[in-house]
Amino acid sequence: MARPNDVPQDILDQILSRLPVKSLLRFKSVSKSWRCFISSPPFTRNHLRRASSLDPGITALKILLSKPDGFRFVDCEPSHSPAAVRLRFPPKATPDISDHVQLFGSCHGLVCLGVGNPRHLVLWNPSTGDSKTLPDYYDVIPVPAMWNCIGGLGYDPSSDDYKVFLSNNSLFVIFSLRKNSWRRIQLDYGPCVYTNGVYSNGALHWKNYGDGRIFGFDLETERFYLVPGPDLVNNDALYFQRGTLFEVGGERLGVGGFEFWLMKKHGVKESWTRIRNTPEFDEWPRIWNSFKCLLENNDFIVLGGLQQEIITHNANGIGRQIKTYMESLISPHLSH
Amino acid sequence: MSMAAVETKKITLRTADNHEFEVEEAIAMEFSTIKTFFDENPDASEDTIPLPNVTSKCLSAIIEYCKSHLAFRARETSSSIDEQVRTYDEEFVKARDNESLKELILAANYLNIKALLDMLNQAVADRIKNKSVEYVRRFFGLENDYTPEEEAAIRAENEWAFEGVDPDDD
Repeated sequence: MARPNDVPQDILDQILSRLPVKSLLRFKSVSKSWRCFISSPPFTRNHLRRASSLDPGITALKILLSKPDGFRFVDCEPSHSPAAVRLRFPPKATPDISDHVQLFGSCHGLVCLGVGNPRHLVLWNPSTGDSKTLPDYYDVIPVPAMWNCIGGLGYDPSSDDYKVFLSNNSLFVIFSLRKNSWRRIQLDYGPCVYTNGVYSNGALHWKNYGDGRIFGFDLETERFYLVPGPDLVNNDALYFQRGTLFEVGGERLGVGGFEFWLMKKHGVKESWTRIRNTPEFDEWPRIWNSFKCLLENNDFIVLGGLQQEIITHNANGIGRQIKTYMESLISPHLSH
Repeated sequence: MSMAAVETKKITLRTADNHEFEVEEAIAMEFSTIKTFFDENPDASEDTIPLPNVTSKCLSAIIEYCKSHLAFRARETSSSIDEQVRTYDEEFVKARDNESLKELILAANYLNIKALLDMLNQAVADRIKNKSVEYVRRFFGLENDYTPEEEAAIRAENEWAFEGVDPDDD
């Protein structure tokens, strides 16, 4: 029953969509209708949209760590100490998950993991705790074929669908969340890869093993295409991953730090710009939540700021596997 | 505001508590509700416009806001002007308690003043973002319709979101 000074729903929508993820998760406890509203797909999608363009402050970069005794995340906000917060893993965890966990990728706050033996794939939002165990792929492809596979999780805007891509360099499968099914695809052209792909802008990205050419896998057409790279002097040492906002390629210059290149406009070769590099491996605490993850592997994490500052952090020993993700309220259960 | 030789047109507004305000046309046009009304009724400009949903306290604050922002916009854009606008907006909001903020939001919504409404919505979001669940219920006048067991279960789902919350002191 609305009272005269009740705030109307559309204004509440405006106010809530300006709140950070952490506040919104807490405010689900305000009332049942708030919980329903905050979890609703129109709201969660709008929040993601605002976070990606207008208001990056409403979501924070987090680092997911897979440790022997479970999962944790580390908050990158300056007001919090960088202590790792314990996370409840999704319900279908097997007791010894740590031995058989593979983090395939993250996209829109969802993380894709392979758990157990034989492997189950799970889509998980570490911020909300929501998870969905995907149907097994064994009907479509034999289990041993995918034991050493790599993959990626991405979003296909043309069909509003999240897709998981798995590859062992000769066999390829794709899972569509909307169709809730796997299928094999034939690929005659593509890179040879041994790392997981990184999602950005409707495509997954890899560096070709050996010659360092950059490949994108378009999630709509489900085909690989070449992305023009910068002309680096020493291409052999090119590391490449594509972060949330911009591309980075870097090469180790002697004993010093990395040199970083940004592709300011996707697909435009001339837009590769060299940016200044920082001394290697800064102290941990100085990380702002306006930084986006540019590059990560089990040795280090590289974050880039909007003013193109770069911070690197030595990740050695902080976890068996790490993956950065942006907080979101997106549910792994698609509803229409 | 410059003292023009030409007499600027004034519009009369009457608030819910029966106060009349004479405002310059330029300011009244910032209220999209009124602008739309005049666009559709061009002969009505001599009449007093009733605003049954707005108190005099609110209206006078809103008029001040619109006057100041019109003045800012008349100057050349620069980062120092942006800074002044920011400071003005912060001061506008800072001293007001939660009830007045809500009243202003409802008035700005009724009068359809987008920039003011956006600014106030952001101010409320900033004010509540680190607050407790109880604070937010009080702010919006909401009932807790969870049972104690349900509420405990919901809190347990996202325990980490309850850390670092400001203590309730008001």
